[in-house]
This record gives sequence, structure tokens and C-alpha cells, in this order.
Amino acid sequence: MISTFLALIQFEYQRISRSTMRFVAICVFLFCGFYAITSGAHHVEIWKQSLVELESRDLEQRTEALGWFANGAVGPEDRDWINITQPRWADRYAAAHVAMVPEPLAALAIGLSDIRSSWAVVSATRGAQPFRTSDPSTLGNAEKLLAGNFDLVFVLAYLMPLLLLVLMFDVGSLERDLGMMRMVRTQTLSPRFWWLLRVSMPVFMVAALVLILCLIGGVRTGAIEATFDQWLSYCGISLGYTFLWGLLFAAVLSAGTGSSTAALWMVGLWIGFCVIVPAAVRQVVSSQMPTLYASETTSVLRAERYEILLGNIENYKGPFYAARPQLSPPVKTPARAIVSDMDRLVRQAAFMSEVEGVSQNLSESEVSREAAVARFGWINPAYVYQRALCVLSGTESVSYRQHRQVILDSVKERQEALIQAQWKMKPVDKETFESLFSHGPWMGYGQAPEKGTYSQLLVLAAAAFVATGAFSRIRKSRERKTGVV
Amino acid sequence: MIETREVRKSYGTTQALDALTLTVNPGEVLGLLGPNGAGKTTTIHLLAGFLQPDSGSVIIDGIDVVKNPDGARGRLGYIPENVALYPFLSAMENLQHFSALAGLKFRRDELAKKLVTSGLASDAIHRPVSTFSKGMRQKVGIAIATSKEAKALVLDEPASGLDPHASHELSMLVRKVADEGAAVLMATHDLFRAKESCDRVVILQDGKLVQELDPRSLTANDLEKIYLKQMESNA
Repeated sequence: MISTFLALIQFEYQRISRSTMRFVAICVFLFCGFYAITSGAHHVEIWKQSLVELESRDLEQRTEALGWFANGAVGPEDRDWINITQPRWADRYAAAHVAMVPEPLAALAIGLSDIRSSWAVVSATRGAQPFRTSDPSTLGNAEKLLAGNFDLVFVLAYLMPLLLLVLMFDVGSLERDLGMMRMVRTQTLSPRFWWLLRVSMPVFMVAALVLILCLIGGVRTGAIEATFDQWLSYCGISLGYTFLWGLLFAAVLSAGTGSSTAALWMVGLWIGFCVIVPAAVRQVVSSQMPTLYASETTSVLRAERYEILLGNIENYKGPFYAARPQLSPPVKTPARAIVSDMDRLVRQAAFMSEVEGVSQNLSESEVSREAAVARFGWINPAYVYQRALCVLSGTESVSYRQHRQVILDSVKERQEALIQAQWKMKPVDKETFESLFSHGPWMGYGQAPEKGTYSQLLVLAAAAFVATGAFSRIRKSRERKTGVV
Repeated sequence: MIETREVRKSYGTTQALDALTLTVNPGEVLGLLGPNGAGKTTTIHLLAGFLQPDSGSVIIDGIDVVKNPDGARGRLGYIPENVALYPFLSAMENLQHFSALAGLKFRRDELAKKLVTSGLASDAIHRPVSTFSKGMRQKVGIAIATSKEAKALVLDEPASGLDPHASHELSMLVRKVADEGAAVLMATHDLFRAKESCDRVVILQDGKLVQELDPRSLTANDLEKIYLKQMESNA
């Protein structure tokens, strides 16, 4: 057995190194992987830079405002209308950002994350903007919106099976094409062991290449050091996906056809599982649940915001005070400016309710769509795999939903603080001003994929395994009856 | 020893072998003669385990091929009518690979010697077999089959398409393998080669053994006459 194993390792080396097609395929795959890692790292670098700029802007503004408090001033000397002790100016100068920090693995599964919002301004007077993209230019780029980025997950999900196909399509079938299977069978101690080794060697080789890319990606992005467990999961899921394709192709080879027929079946499987099924599932789900894009949501909110800003303030006061029983409408008529500021907060609170409602709708719509797509997961391995890694890397919609919630919570917190300050009609002191900076944490949202992910991939793997056994049995029975090997 | 006992095999309604009983002793070469469709290849495929008999038993060196195919395979060398080899490997690499699959490990000089002994020119040993003629491939095939030093060797029309010189070399080689103690069964249409290398010759027709001859007691012409007469009488 060991001699067979060693002989086949040497044979595989000779088979691949003497085939230009296979050698080029491996080089192209590795090149695509390197490019995807570099490209992902570039996107994450831009993402990180924007966060550094935000942080520095926040710090600068905060330092300036705190300087006024230290100097006993209420604003800059050249702009005497600014009064930091008034809640609306305090909100303006305390404006900070809540940001989604890229997970170290994000570079390896950047996906469509650069067209989504990774940060938002926390302000009670400038409106919550959880849906506004950080990079509006990409939203207008329809091609990018459709295709996403060329990230490592794309390379592994869609190109890896093609490499496996190139390395596997003539395993056993070449021997049939050349008419040498009989000689192989009589020379080999155990034809079954020979077949298992022949089929598994290209799979293990591709698995090794996948691991190399994951390792390079992990080192390049620092994921191995920073989040070793997540990186390990990334590798594990990728290896599982590689073995799944190995099983699918083994099922084809077990039918015992020639190499051209085997290649056509494998190409058919790839087109089916990587193109037709994902597209068809998307089409079916979209026809029943149209996609609600954030840009559409932003437009809706813009209209509603103007309606609230221009509408009769009395319409909003009722719900406002009802939601805050600790406050009651002022008995005495305060100064005109204070009334105006309170009204502004009432309108903002009304708008905030709209934003929360829309956010809720959007989240429910996304969850429903994802659940609908997930129902087809066991025949949609590329999607399931891609989604699993994006969830793990914090670049999937579930992460953005959590991020949006943090934005909303931060804005609400700010709003309530300002409402309290405004209601007390006391000047904002340094302590109150500093408290306005507290907002949701800057964090990444990578998490373990849903449990269903694994079971869906396992169902398909089990089906491929059963098919391999069945095809193999049928082939053997046919061969024993006809003698045609 | 190679044995078949009351072996029957049919393809649908066609009876390919009908109660065939054969024995090839160690050191003996048995020639299996017969027209196309007589059951020669079916017999060889049963011996090699590619087919399963409907009834009867097939035994290689005391091991039942149906009950223990892996064990029987380990004791069998097989040379098909057309030896196909991995085209991207040289003759030596092919031999090395197939020997390793059989669990055998040879040094490079041993491999070269085996190829030369099989009749391959020494300058062809390191050439890719994609450039080889049929005769050259056949010689590599012989080297592969004999390198196992199997107890039994079955050849399915091995001289088909070979020139007379190569054919003669093959006969000598087969004889040598038998002289070293192997039981050899050779299906062939070539009566002259059968006379040259076989200890016994059996004629198969319609899956039945119709005559057994000692070729050493006959001339090639006598053998041809008997064969043709047998064909006519059964037509």
C-alpha cells in the first residue's frame, strides 16, 4: 500500500509537471489568489484610512471644544453666534462617528462591503444616517454593484472548482481512453485503493494550494495573529468546500466514462452549482421578495424628513411627550430660542422614529430574503460557502444589520441626552458635553456562520458520496457482465 | 497453476463459454486457439477477474478469482492485445510505476535490464512511449507483466500486429517465462507461433473445448490442417 501511495505521488508530480495545461492552470489559480488578497488588503487599507481620518477629525473637534471650556469661552472668537453651552451647538461640536472596524479577515472576504456604510455621524440634530454609504461613488457603479470585488472568497468559491476539474477530469478516464485500465487493474494490488488514491491526490493538492493562499492571506492581513480562531475557521470551511467539490467530481469519475465525457459532466456541475443555481435562486427569491436597496431607503427617508421638518409641529409633540412621560409640555412659555430648539428636537425625534421603522423593515426584508435563499442552500454550495466566509469576516449583511443597530442606538442615546439637557434649560457644562461623546463602540462584526451552513454543505456532500457509491456499483456490475472495462 | 472448472459465461442469450475446463501447469505454455467469438478473450477476462462466471470456478495458483480477486491478481501477469502505456512517461518510468503499483521496487539498472531482456533497444528506455511503435509498447508491456514474477501469465493475442522478428522474440520470451516456472496461457490466432512456443494447444469453438493437441508432435502445416478441419466440421 505504501509503495502504491509513493508511486502515485511520483506519478501525480510527473502528470502535472509534464502537462502545460495543468501547470498553467495552477499558476493562474495562484496568481488570482495573490491578486485577490492584495486587492482585498487594498480595500481594507482604504477602509482603515477613512476610519483614521474620522478619528482624527473627532479628536480635533473635541479638543477645540474642550479648549473653549478650559478658557471660559463658549465658542470660537471669530464666530460669536456659536455657543457650546447650548444643546444644539454642543451636539454639533460633540458630533462623533460610530464606525464598523474591518475584521482582520475582511481583506479575504471583502465582497461588496465597500459599497455599504461602514460609519455614520452620531448627531441628534443632523439626522441619523445609517443607510448612507461611506463611499457614494460606488453606489452609482452598477457593474461593481453586480460583480462585487475579486476577493479570495470568489477565487476559492468559483475558480477553485475549475482548477480541481482541470486536475481531475482524466483520473481513471485517461486509462479508459487509452485502453490501459485492464493492465492497471491486473498490476495494482487493490484497484479500489488505486482509484481512491488517484482521485484524492488532486483534491489534496488543491486543498494544499487553498491552504497556502489562506496562509498567505492570514499573514498578509495579520488575521493569524489577531483572530487565529476565525482564520482557522476560514481555512476549515474552505477545505470542507474543496473536499465537497472533490466528492462531486469523484461521483462523476466513479461512473467510469471517458475523459471527455467526465470533463463535460464536471463542467456541467460547475455551471450548475456556480452559475445557474445561484442565479436561479436569486431570480426566484427576487420575484417574490424584491430587493430593498439602501439607496432606495435613503430616498424614501429624505422625502419623509422634509415632510416632518416642514409639517405642523403640533402633530409630533403628542407622540414625543407620550414616549417620554418624565417630561411634560412646558407650562411657562420659555424664551423663543429655547422653544425653537426644543421643537427642532421634537422633529428630529419624529424623524428618528421613521428611521427606526425603515431600518426595521429593511432588516426584516433582508432576513426574509436570506431565509428564502437559504432554503435552497443544499443545492447552492458556492453561495453558502461565500456567505459563510463573509459572515465570519464581518462583511456580510448580518454584520451590517448589527452595525446599523449600533448607529441607531448611538443616535438615540445622543438624542435623549440632548432632550434632557434642553428640557432642563440649563447651559451644557463640560461634564455634560463630554458625556455626549459616548456612543456605540468602534468594532468589527465577524461571527461564526449559522449552524445551517454546515448542515447544508454536508447534505450535498452526503448526496455526492451516495452518488459515488451508486455509480461505482453500477459501473462494476456493468463491467462484470460485459467485460468492458 | 491456472485452472478453470466447468466455467459458463453468457452475454444475454449468447453463450460465450460452455462448461470450459482447462488446466495450465507451472512451467507450461498453453495455446488457446479458435476463431473470433470462440471465447478466448472471455476466458482471459475471467482469469484476470474482469468478468465473473455465471457458474464454475476460475483459479489462479490455488486462489479463486471470484472469492479473492485481490489475492489472485497478485499472482497474475496480464498482457493485452494492444499494450497502452502512459504517453507522458518513458519506458523506464512506466515500468517503474507499474512495478510500484504491484508493490515491487527495483533499482534503475534492474529496470533497464528488464526492459532490455524484454527486447527493447537500450536507447529507447528513456524515450517517452508516445513515440513507440506497437511492438515496442508490447515489449514494455511484457516487461511490466513479467516483472511481477507472477505464478501465472495470460496473454491475449500478444503477437497481433507484430512483425515476424518481434513475434519470434515474443515467443522466446514467453517460453523463457514458462521455463522459469510460470503457467502461461496465450490466446492466439497465430498457429505458427503457437507451435513455436506452446507445450499444448487447445481449440475453442462456440465456448467449448473441441480438441487438444501436442504441437511438438506436429508440423505447423499439420496444425493448420487440423485447425481448419475442426472449424469446418463445427461450421
